[in-house]
Amino acid sequence: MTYIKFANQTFAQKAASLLNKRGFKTRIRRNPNPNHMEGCNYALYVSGDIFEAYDIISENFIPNFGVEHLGDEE
Amino acid sequence: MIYLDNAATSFPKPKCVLEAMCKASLFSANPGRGGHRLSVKAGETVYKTREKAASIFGADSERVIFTKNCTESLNMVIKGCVKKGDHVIISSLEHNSLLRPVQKLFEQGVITYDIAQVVPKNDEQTVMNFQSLIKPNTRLIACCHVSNVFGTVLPIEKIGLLCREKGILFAVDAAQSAGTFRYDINNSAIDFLCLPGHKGLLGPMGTGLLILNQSSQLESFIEGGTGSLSLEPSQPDVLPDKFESGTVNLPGIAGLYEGLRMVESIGCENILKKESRLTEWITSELKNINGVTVYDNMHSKTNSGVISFNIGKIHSEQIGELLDQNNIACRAGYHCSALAHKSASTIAQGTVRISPGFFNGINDIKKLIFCINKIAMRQKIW
Repeated sequence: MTYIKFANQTFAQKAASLLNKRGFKTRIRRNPNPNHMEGCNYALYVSGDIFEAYDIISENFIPNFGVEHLGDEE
Repeated sequence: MIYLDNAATSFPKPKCVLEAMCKASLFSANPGRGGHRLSVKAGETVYKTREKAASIFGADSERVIFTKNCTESLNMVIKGCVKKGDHVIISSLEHNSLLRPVQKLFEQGVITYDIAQVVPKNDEQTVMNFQSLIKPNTRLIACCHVSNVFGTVLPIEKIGLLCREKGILFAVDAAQSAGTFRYDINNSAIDFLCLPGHKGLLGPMGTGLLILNQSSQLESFIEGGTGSLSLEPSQPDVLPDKFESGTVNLPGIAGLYEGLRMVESIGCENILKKESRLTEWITSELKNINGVTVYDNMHSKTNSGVISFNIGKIHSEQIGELLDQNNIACRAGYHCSALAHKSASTIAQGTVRISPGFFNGINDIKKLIFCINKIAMRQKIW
């Protein structure tokens, strides 16, 4: 599974709100694999091209911890 | 009961506000913390309220901070942006929510401060009074937009421009103006806007907002759990977490969302227009009653929804009690604002404050005027 990581739910929601307006479907969960630098944080799952979604988020200056891929399920 | 104490808190709360609070209490968990659906759902409620406030006040959503009231917001700003040796200027109409944190810092030897005299109906003189107090170490100018006692509207745009010109931070106490006056924070000279959620925004008590301009920096007020960067011992710099340690008031925030939505749909201008018409009418009627003093000399060119009066030499608390006996709720006394009463020389009696809200109608005001007439006539034999 691939997701975009955010420090908190606020930024995950802000990104989701923006992406929803652009036609993406999104889902917010806790980051299933946080590292020791980030601690608890949130994951935004996107249906569609996640890298396009990531570009939109970055162009709109929504702070994030980047895209992470976990496992080979997808 | 006719409720005319909206400057203290708006009443009645809209049904949608109460229903949202109830729903949030019944079906939500701690927002921004857990990964389970109840928590995420609660986080969505918090975010949509943040987003709604951001849209109404022209701010970035993460720069909308939830507090418990306007007083807490003011404390966060005043104590979070000054350092030892700084100088602060406040106005002569401040509520204790702004005066007391400044006074506390003064007593602790952290800052010095001065009080700029507000001259009603003379914005230029008011701004000059602020300007004349600026020192090389002036860090912050903090003032109300509307006086909670007399309804005086301060020229905050002009004071803000003065602050920008001099490189001074500018904080506005919008306790009496939020919901009636329009703000566009990111396009204004306001660095910090402090608001209650439970007055003009029609939300529940126990809610407040602090809205930061895009460029504003502030130290955290309290530190603790934020649900983010949890392995770090230091308070995270990330917004809004930096200013929201501990569990937020979810039912209150859910109610506030509905209040904001209602204000947005009615429109601040329409609310102000209605409240102003009512206060203008009250003012003109009161001035026709023998023995009544209306403090309209403290009014500004722009109207607001607050007026103060007295009857003869009777203490305002007695008038407030008599109005209550006639099922009229208003606020008498000093309104937590010694500065304003000193400015208007009303320390001896205090004043009776009438603050109509959007839900008041003409019949409420007719009843008020009738009762004040009755009390004033009776006062002649006291």
